[in-house]
Amino acid sequence: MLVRSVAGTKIRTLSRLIDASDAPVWAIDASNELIYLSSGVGSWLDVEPEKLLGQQCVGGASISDDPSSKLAARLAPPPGFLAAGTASYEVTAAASGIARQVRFVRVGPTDEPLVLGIAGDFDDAEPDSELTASEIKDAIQIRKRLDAWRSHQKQIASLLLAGSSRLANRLNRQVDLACRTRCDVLLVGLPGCGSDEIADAVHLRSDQRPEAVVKVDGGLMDIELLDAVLSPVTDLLSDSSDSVATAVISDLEQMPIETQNRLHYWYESHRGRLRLIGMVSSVSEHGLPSHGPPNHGPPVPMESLNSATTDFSSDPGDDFLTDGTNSGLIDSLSDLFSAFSIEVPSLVARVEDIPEIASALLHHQQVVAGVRPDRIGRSAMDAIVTYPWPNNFSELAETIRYAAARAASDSISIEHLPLAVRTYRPADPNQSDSSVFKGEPVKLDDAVGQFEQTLIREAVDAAGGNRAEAARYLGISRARLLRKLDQADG
Amino acid sequence: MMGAELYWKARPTDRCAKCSWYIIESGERWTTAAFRFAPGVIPAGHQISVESSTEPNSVFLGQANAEIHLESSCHIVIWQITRSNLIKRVDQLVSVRTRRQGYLHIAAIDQLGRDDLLCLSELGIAACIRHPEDLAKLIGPIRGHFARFADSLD
Repeated sequence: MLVRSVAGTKIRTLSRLIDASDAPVWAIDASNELIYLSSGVGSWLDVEPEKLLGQQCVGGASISDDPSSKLAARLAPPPGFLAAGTASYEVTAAASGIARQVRFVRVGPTDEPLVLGIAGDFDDAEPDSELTASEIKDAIQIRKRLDAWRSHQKQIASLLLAGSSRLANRLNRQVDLACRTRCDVLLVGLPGCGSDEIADAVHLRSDQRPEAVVKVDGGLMDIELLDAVLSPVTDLLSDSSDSVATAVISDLEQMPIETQNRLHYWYESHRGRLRLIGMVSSVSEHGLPSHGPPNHGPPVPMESLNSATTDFSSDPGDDFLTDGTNSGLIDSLSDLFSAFSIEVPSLVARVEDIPEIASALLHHQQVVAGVRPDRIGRSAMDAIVTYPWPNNFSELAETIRYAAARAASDSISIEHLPLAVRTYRPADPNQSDSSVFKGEPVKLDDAVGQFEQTLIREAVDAAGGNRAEAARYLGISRARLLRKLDQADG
Repeated sequence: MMGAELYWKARPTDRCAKCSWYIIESGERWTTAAFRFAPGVIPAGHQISVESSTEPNSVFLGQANAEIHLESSCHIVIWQITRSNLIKRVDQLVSVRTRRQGYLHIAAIDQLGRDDLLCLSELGIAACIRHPEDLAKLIGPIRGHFARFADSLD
């Protein structure tokens, strides 16, 4: 066993010489905190070095919106550095735009490294392999683009979290807590309510060091495809015991049971290192996910959705959905997400936030697309607030994008809004003479189906029994007509 | 009968959905694969169109839709991505994703490493395929994507 019995010399003289040279030099400890910054760093970044001391130096994302956190993130070494032990990287100061060549050197063991960063003008010998230098250059370019995309996604998430309603405040607190802890999270919300954006925010704003992420579209995914989609992170986790990763799974309740079991297998195989962020659609009053199985896809037994959580019927208290209906998840995944689920409210549930969100979306369009209008007129805002937004946040974002592109003035007026929004009129709640809504409620799908069958029968009769002719009358394919006739007979 | 006659004289509502495939590649490998396998993965009775280009074109990078909710086609994009065009494809993918939501993006890959695949996943690539026959294995996600689109049709 090695015993360190001899201390090194004092570094005060070294520190004075470094400061005198005005060279930007900094040091990062094993927990990714900045523990030393020379005065040259302060001159280069136009910041007091003391303000960056103790900040997390994590590449790709700042821990918070604090400017110091963002500056600290810029001083992080590039990906793959720890394994190599040395790397060269170009770092640009945000304030001045001055880019400097930086050499990173790892000192000490890989599991407890001390990283030194030194900025300067270097003239290295040609690399042995042009391919290697090219690959590094490409990796840097890819990383820059990924950072830009992550920044964009975080901005979108902040738009969705705007507002001061009680639901907005609650949502912000929950998202903030999810970001601070690295626990598995289930997001429950209607289509278009922004679950995807919130999942991105939870991952990107996480307090931990940046980790690999893979996105999985859970709907009707089989085991083989799941393995293929997860392979980059499962390989990463298998290669290194220090690695961590996140899998973001949308439409989790649409995933077949056997695939959900497979997902749980991977989770257990890398327990503690593979984080899951799942998204499920809100459940209708009939206890079924709002999407349901596709009309024409491979049959997914309805029992597999309803019976997946067999314990729920006996213990509704365990259900994380507030309306007490089951979630379409297997028991093990339900248990996994039982600690933390976030219900993403619909836009109309946060109607008092709509003006603020719409204004924020317009401002975002000004920044990214350079549109002219900078405000929404009163009549337009009234229409926006009145509209029921069946597709929630995504529909509102598309509306603002569309209106901003059409408006030629500084203000968005009602005529700039899409037809569906500007012409919407809520039904008169006092109206009672509509025969359609008297008595029993009418199921739209049943009524449409009956009308369809009547029309089809009349078309076939008019065509003398010629189904191809009848299909032409109705403007549909013969195959579709035959299918509808089979449905009627069956 | 009378009601049906009047209905025929009026323009019937076309409730047939359309699935548009865009293949961004140099060559014909993936276009041929789309022609071969698209009819099998899309439910019968719906229209399929396949367009091929070396670059994302104005067809789906043009102006915003004239009206919301009138999107009449479900979109699937296959990107041919290799080591040499990775950066360009990343830029194009980000551009499309920023301007168009609700598309299903598939990457036809060659010689990409793990970090590249993670990057593509984060940027919205739903699945990666290496061989034309892999397209047939995506029947589940493609039908799920199509069903989500069809749900929003009037």
